[in-house]
Amino acid sequence: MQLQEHRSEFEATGAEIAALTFEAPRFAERYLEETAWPWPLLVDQDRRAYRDYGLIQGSRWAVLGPHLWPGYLKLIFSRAAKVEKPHDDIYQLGGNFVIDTEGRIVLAHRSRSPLDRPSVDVLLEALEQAGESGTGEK
Amino acid sequence: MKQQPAEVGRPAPDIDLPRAGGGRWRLADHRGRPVMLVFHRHLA
Repeated sequence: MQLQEHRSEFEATGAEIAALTFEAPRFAERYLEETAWPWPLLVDQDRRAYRDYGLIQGSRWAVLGPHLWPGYLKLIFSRAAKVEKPHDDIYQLGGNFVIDTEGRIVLAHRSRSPLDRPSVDVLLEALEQAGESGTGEK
Repeated sequence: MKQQPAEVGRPAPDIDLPRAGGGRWRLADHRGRPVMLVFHRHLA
């Protein structure tokens, strides 16, 4: 999923958006140069935030299993991505969190496999909810 | 102090990290706006 392709929709929600990586700053900076990622990219090399938010390590099957190969191929061709050896832990999985105006979590999605992400529609709906929740009783 | 699990309805654990390219980013600075965090796996 390329969130930046939906940049205007996300920014219309008034949300602050940030990504996190556990890789070294030089790889993070290269990622910014090579992609159109328009929001802050935070470097969490000791993975404290990954632990605080409960993100998991996938099993070999969850990360490399043949059930994922069609999805990987689709991703590679859709991005015309360069395929290269990963720099770091391939078993660390990611996730998405949406936080409301009062600092409470309204969406917590911890990936169970590399391709497991919430849809853009689910994220936009959560952001709409997050923007409203601080303005009324909850 | 042990932090509460990051679950729906609970306060989000604080984040204070360096930004790629320079500067820092603190979750607490964005109170009052909705926030979306995207945790990447490796970037390759």
